[in-house]
Amino acid sequence: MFELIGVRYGSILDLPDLEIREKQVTSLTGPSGSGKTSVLRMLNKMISPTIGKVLFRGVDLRELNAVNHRRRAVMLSQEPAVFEKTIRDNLHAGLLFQDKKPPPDQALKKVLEKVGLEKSLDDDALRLSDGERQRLALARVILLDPDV
Amino acid sequence: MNDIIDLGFLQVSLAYICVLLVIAIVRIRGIRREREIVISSIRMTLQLILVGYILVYVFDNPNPLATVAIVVVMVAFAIYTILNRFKGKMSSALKRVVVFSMSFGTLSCIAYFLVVVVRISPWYEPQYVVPVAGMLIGNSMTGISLGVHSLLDGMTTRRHMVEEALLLGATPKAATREIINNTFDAAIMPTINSMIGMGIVFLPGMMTGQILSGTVPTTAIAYQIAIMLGILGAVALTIITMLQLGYTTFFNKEDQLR
Repeated sequence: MFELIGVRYGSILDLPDLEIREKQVTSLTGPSGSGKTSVLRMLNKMISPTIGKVLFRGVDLRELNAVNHRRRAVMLSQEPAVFEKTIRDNLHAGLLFQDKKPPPDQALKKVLEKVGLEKSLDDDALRLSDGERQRLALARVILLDPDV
Repeated sequence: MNDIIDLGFLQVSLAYICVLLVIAIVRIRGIRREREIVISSIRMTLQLILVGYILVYVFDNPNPLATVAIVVVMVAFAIYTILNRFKGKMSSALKRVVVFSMSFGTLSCIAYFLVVVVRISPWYEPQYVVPVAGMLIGNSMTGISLGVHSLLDGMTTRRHMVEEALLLGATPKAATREIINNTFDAAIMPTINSMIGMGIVFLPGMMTGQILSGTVPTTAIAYQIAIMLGILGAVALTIITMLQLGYTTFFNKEDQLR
């Protein structure tokens, strides 16, 4: 699904060509600072390689609109930012960013259950622990129902 | 009503006692600001004397070129002041945005105010153009300074929020929406506050000036109301232009944060 060909990013990365297949778990390993996050950020076009190209289903990412691509291939960040509002607002945020209509509370609660976050929708998202924030961010991404 | 007390050299000199008082205070308190206070007092004095003579000449010899030149110098100086204040903090793209929005926002409001509201004739009558331009440009300069400060601050402290929004598929516009709105609010607030206090907490400078020079207070008030609305319009137009164009300078063509 993703192919990295002759990719370099600044001085951090000098990757061998890489193929990431659909419906398979691919893991990247390496010491910190070696560019694992940079690779992920390239996959959803948060950054672009200095040299080389990244293909998504055979198409060079340079030719794809960044916003549309990010809507299809959503990335979950290591330390997700939580918006300064309630859990409900945070779950709505991603959908509103994509001009989608938020589902009723019942559906939101289901997703929270799925990720194991037992909180009320009206709770202040800023009061969550780091682990809970991760789960909230995961729930937020699940609601977006992306391809990747 | 028209007997204006002319201030002589001695009388103006007596006003400098205020400066001495401030110097005494900072010296006793050990606040090292004597130099700035002396320099700014001298600069203010010299600049105003110089402008006084220029205005006397320009008012006596109305000339479209001279009027336009004065307005251009005012806008240019305002822009220079803003760029200088944020030296090293603004990208060159954001600087260009500031130059454009200051010029566009102030000049269009000045033209509207003088031609449509006051209806001066001829259009370059310096007695009207210079003070009105000064007020609109000065207030817009303050507004845009606050705006640039708040925008840079927002894009730095809330960078991870913008990043998160982009990750969730937001357009740069949607991702910066809150920062933009907060910035507009912060920049326009002083203008709104000054309208609320006007006439009760303080008498605005232009109105006071007109009254001191013998204008009937009701006429002075009509002018003040109009100019205040003009200021509100100019400040808002300048800031919103700056913000609408300014947020894009933080992203590249690929919608990635710079």
